[in-house]
Amino acid sequence: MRIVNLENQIVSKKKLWQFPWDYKESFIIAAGLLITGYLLQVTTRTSIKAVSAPVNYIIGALFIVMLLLLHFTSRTHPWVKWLRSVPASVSAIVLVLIQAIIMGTLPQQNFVEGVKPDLFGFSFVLTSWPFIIAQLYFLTTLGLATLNRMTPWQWKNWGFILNHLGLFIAMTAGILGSGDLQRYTMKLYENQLVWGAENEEGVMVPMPIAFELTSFDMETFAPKLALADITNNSIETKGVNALRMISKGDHYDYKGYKIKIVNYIEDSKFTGNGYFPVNEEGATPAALVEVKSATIDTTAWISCGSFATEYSYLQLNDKEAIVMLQPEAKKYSSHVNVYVKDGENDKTVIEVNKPYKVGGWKVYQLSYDEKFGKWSKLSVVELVRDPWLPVVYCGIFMMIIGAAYLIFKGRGTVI
Amino acid sequence: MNYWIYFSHYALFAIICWLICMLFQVVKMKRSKMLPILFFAVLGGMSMIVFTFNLWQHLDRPPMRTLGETRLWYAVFLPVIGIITYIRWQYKWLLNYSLVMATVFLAINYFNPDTYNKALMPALQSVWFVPHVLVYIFSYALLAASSIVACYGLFEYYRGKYKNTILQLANNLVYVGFGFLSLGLLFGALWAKEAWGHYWTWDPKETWAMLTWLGYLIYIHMHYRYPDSVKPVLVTLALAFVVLLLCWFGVNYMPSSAQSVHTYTNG
Repeated sequence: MRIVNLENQIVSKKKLWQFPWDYKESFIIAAGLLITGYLLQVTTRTSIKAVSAPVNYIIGALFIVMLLLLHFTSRTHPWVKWLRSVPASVSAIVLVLIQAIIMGTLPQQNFVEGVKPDLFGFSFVLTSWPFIIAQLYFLTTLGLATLNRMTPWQWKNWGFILNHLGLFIAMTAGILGSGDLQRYTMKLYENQLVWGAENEEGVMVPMPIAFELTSFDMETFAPKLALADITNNSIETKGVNALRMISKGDHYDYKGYKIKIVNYIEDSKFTGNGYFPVNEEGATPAALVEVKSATIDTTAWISCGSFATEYSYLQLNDKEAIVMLQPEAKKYSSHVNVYVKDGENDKTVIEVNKPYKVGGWKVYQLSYDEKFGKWSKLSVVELVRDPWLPVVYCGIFMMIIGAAYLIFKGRGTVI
Repeated sequence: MNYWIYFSHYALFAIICWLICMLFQVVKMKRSKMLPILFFAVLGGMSMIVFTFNLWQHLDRPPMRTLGETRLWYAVFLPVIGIITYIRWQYKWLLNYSLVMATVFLAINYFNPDTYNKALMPALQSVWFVPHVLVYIFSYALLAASSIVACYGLFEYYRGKYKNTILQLANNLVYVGFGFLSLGLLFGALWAKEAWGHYWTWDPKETWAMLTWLGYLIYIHMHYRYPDSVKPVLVTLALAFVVLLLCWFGVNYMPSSAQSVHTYTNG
């Protein structure tokens, strides 16, 4: 950056650390913060646990008060002017970027007590010192820049404020709120009343809400036919007809074979010499397949099998076979009775993408016993309690409007 | 019925239209060339829009799951962006870039056809599926266009023929593209809360989506601070695009991808 005098002549090059600070100073400071973070991480060799209520509320309040004080009492101080400047914010964004790159490239795992963690926290970036420091720096520059644009209030800045304040609110609430986030899983077996849930570490936690699974329902797509290599147990996935969904009467060509589905039973059982339709637990799809080619002309029953019935495949030669894959889930849900301690009982259906709300908790359909497929007697639900969510949603909603502002104004935005 | 069997008909028609469009640009004409150029560009675009619409009807699910299907949407959106910028600013080269890129995507689909797959897993059966994917594809197309403008700008800069209008165009594209990128990120978070129980889980795809967002954020702030600066800003724009590509394709190959729910498959 060059110092320019009134006649627009270059007078002298700005010295490092001479105010106002620009990109060079910002990146040096950011580098310093990065090194500090890693030094802290290396010396403490620990992960930082999220703080929960009331500590997170106190920290949040203190942080905001600090920003307000900095802005209103020292608005013209060179350090404060630099902290809210664009170069400072760019260096803060880069600092977060570096942490996110590590997190997005290297496998992450939860920090396990007792097991010696990696030195720099590369496998648990989210709870390591460098990440926390980067976020703190980011939120500080963001908060001060936002405050500066909000005072004195000018309506023309509405887009800027929505975007920046929205991000500040969403990020701060997300970080502070993570300590109050409760996520538990409940394994529900048919006709069993379950009061206890399990947390991430597998510890049982008694809940004020109990669930009784009356039935687990699942609809599947028709299974697919595939060409398998029996020497290495792999499935051929290339080509338009590589994984063709079965339907009775269908016929198609694939890899030189003419394939025809002569018959298809959705629920069947193998008995001695073939598959027959049944209405029993463990019933499995089966298809009578005709395969013709230059070297082969054969018809046989194949099935993906289940826990109750054997699978069968059609061997074409030493290497290839036609197999039926397990049908994929189309829709699954749990019919449950809900019992609330000191509250009203209820009856509902919990489905994927349609969580159920009860007493400050949201209940999600998570998974089932895949070995049993649609005959699963087990349904796993997840209970989530997120008290800071309304604040995060507030920030997200502000950013959505801010994004629409960017789209409509294009380059004409007031930035 | 596998409507993809008609793909080559629609694609060939679109490509021929676009070739005629480019032919009109070189031919000498007395009358204004803008009308025939636009007409054939739009006709080709309509062909792909009609195909996509019909495919959606026959597939019983939004065609937004597989790589082949997303390539189809790029072949739809890129010409739209090229046409709109041509109408607005008369940049022929951007129109041509978008038509050529669309042709490339169509060619890839022709030589690498999707396996016909009607299945859509329960987690994807949500009102958020279509807006989230569409908004992202549109933003990627806009940001890709802005990065090409940046490369073109750097090229002109080194030739000494740089015009300020180039950076202005790139800027416009970035602002609109970034707006859509933000929407995609936010819609994803809102959907995640309904489907998976939390709005942000640092899944590798999510992390790289955030990285793409941060990359363009840096560009916007740098350009704001030094509006007259050309080279550093254009370089940032090109680099941000590299991050975008890493997010789009690279995630599948990274060591962290084993834990991602977003790893797309061909089947």
